[in-house]
Amino acid sequence: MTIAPKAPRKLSMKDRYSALTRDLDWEPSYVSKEQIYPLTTFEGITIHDWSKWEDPFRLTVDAYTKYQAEKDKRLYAVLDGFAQSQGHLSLTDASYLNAMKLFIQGIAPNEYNAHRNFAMLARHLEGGGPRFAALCQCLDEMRHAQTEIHTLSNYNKYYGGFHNFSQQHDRVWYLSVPKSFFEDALSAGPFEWLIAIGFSFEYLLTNLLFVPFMSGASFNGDLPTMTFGFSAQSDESRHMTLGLEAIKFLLEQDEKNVPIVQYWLDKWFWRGYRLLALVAQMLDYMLPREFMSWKEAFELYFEEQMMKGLFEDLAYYGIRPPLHVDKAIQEKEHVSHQAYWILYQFSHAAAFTTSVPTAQHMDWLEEQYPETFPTYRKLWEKEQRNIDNGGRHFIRGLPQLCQVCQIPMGFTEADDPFVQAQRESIFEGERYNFCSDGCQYIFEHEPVKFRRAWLPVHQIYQGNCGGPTLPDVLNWYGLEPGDGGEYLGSIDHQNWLKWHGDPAHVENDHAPAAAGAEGGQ
Amino acid sequence: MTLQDTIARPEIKSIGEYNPASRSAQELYGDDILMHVWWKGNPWFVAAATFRVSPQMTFADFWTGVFVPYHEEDPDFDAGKGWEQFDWFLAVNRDAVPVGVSSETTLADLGVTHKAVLGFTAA
Ligand SMILES: [Fe+2]
Ligand SMILES: [Fe+2]
Ligand SMILES: [Zn+2]
Repeated sequence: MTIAPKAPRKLSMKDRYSALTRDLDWEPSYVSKEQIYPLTTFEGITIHDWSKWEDPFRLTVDAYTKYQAEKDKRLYAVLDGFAQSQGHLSLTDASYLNAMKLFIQGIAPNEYNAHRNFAMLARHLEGGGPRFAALCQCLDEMRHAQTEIHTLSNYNKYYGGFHNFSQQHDRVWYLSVPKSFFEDALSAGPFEWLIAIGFSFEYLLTNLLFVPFMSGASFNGDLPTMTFGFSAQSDESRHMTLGLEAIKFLLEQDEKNVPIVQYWLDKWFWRGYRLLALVAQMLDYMLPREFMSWKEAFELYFEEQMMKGLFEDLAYYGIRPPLHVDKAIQEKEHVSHQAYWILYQFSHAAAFTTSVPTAQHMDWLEEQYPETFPTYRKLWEKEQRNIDNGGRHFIRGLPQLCQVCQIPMGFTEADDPFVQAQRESIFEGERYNFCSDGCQYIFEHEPVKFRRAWLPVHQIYQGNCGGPTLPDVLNWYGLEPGDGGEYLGSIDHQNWLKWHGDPAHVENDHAPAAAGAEGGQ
Repeated sequence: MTLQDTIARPEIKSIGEYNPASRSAQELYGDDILMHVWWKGNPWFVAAATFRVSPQMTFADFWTGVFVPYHEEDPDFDAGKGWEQFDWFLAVNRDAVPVGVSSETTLADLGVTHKAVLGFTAA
């Protein structure tokens, strides 16, 4: 009698997951835990039991890669089809791509940064579950960086502003805003990162960041970006869950963690919110076909979903809503107008173009912002008189920057909303300037870190940005004619008219945009 | 001139010695300073402007060499009305400390130190 060999026992998904995470985690015998995990104590966070970390996504490596490969296949099929059918010609207008220029310059390099730091967490967190969750997110973020670059690379064949995003991310003034935001988080410890990026960015503010870009894409005929958005969405829901689990885990582990986490929340809410000024102006000014105002987005995705839902739950742990949230709520009527006005005035030094909003667009803005836009409209009307007199305006000179958010100091007082705010602190004999109470508050908690900030204006005046003149700096930024300046008459605009057989097209490709790029001085 | 600190040094949590210097310290500008010039209440200028100047510059030189070329950009600004058209002050948080300007006073005399904000509004 022969006994048939037993078929190898098949583990369930749950068992395979626990073999992957828990069975690959062990108690060290000949080195101490502190030697293996040197980064989990200095921030002052106390963890008693890493096994209490819940991981609701029980993914294994094979399930993860299979799923991601399917999504990539779908995305790349769309990219190919769009490229072959000259899909870019069916966008609403070439000026829509300014939103995507900002995206590839400001966001894609930070997806890459996110991948770096999650790789660090995948090594340094002490629990098997959180390490594996961090590994998956690390791979996601790398994939996001790659798919975003691939998605937008097709536009680089036809339009300015895309060709040098990585160098520009490191050098250009407005990109120091997202760059310094992420590098602040990268240079923090693993727990601050979890609250900064995992929770505040990926949970608290993520819908305000991605929905505007992805819906803006769908409203303006950008099928590739929309498809990228869908492909990233299922990752994002995992990231949101990780962020939420991270904050609950820290709060449940020890009461002493609560004030530390509260400060990080205060800090990263405000840092993230200030960064979103770039998104706010994109939503209200850069989309030829509008779909939602910043104010509506803020009310829905922040005030409704976060202030009402999330912070009511977190109150149970002794967490209150972030400081300065009232200022953000008050600013929803102003921030997009102020931010776009800044970008408009300095776009001769940018890798995107701007233009005075059309009368029709201003009517839309006035419907959205009946209380405040009439005042901003007067500025545009003043600028229109300039243009009628032959002089589109670019500011000749450099703006005062906030030491923390690094944005030109164009934001205003809550109780005096058309007067810019000025704040300063003096630390070890040196004065530092801030745009708001929120930024000042952060500096006063971490003055040594923030005095190290690389402020583009201060660096230009030290001679560290290619030379003393504006053309020197623009050259050092890697800008080329057609990347920045005024949209009307730019190379992108002229090409767009030509490709659409528009009689307004004039055979004069380079002159207008080059004039724009030099218009500053 | 040493400024009086407004904040104390907080405890620093780091994995090693962490005490980087300021990347905007006055010494990095030789004998010059950075100053911010702020037209309070005029949103035409998106933010105050930053200039690198010598603190020994007289106000008259500042007016013709620095101030007017920049603010002329506002089509409603009339340089011909002179600096008397404005009230001048140093902005310190929400306070405005008035300063008296005249052609021979230097920026240093006015109390303009590194990264100070010289503000002005219509008189
Ligand atoms: Fe991502
Ligand atoms: Fe993410
Ligand atoms: Zn700020």
